[in-house]
Amino acid sequence: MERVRAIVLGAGFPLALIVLWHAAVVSSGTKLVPTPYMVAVMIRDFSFGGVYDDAFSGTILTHLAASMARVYGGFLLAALVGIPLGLAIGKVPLFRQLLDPTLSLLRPIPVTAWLPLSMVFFGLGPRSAVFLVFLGAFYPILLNTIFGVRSVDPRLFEAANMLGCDGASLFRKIILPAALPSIFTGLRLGHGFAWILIVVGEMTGVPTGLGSVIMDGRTLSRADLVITGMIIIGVAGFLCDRLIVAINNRVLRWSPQHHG
Amino acid sequence: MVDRRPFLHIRDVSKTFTIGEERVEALHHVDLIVDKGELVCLIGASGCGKSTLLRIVAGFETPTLGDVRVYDAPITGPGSDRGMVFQDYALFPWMSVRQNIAFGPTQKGLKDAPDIAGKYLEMVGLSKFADRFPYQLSGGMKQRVAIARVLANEASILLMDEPFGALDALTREQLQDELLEIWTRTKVTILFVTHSVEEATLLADRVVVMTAGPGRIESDNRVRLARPRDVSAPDFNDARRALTERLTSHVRRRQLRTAA
Repeated sequence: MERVRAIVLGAGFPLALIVLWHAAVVSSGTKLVPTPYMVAVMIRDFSFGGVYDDAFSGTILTHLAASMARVYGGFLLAALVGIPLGLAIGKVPLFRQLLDPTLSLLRPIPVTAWLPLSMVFFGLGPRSAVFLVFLGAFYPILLNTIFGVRSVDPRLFEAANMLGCDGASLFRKIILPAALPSIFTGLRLGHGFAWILIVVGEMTGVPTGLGSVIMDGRTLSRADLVITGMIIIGVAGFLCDRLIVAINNRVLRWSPQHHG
Repeated sequence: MVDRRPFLHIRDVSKTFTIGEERVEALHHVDLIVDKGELVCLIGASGCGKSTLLRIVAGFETPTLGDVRVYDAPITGPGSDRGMVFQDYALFPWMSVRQNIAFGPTQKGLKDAPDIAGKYLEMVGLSKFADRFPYQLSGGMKQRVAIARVLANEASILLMDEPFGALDALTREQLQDELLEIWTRTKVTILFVTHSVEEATLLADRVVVMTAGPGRIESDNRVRLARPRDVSAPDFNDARRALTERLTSHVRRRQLRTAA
């Protein structure tokens, strides 16, 4: 009963919004915003073709693959740099003293403010998008890793020391696993930012990618294409987040309170 | 040939902590010799430095003056010959019970680490729970794992810091019995911090009474009761009462002084 209620309420609200959207478009007679039905037709054409047969028909996989390659390229790079750096800053005073002030100064700069410079560094193209994604995912991963390391129960270090574990193996055997719940929080946050920034990154003259589809839709005054791009990013981001949560729950099966 | 050197020798140990501007003398010229295989309880009001003394023996703290020696070799830091059992267990939450117990032997690179873990799993009666994570265990079971973990590491001195303080009365009694059984079987030396006179009377060969302000040894009392001890026997009661008087006499003296 409780389940049925959850489904009815959870699915009912977006359905009601769609109905409201339809009614608003029809009653106002606007030509700028498509009806939900027109968007559905566009999604079908974008996915399988056969309706409009234009440059966008049946190209979903090309754009999705391009965007995902950039999102996960930047995201993995951010994790690869952010986690080890976070472990070092969290545990080694030298690294903290050396890097903390600089990072604190750079962190408040919105990632989108890097856009012009990243175009200078990497030119107009996908590498600029990957850089933005990297920056956006990097800080949450780094900061949560640092936090995770700093909140490890000191008793665990003592226990590890007396059992003959110190030095470099302390990082791998104690600090990394103990900080994992925080690291996963950082990964999930960073992953969300990565999907946000891919759109910004791809609006800078990249020929493929969901962000460029949205940009093209705007240029061509095709709101149905814009909304299609938005919906696909939403669904892809949501599904990938669920995947991360599933990995999180598997890796952190020793700590049910950290399950997503 | 019997080794005439003292086994565990705490030599004129003083410890001063500096908290902000204030200097607190936690231990004041403490001397204590513990023979191999002895079970010695440290008892005293909070602030008497009994836990600090235990942490110095463990190597987690360094004494301000004096030193601690095992067979004349000064202790310079945590080592696998001395295993601490913490009140809050300090198990590695991401490791199964078996992995926790095997941690020390694995660190040493022993090939038969799994067999060693199996042996101690059986000794503490947790073979059936070998693959559980700490969060799936009761407090009593966690403390059994903590004891097995240091025994598996071949610690010759067990340092126990109010290990049963967080357990309910029934579990505590059970664990006290099991500890005595393990002690008889393994001939391990035990330094046991408690605030319970009854626990000290039940377990100890010797009860060292400590007093606060600054922490020092007030008296060293041999418990001359045959084992197994019966807490309801009259001679047990006498021994406990004598010890309680030892523990409270200086408190009363001080109160009288303050009143006068």
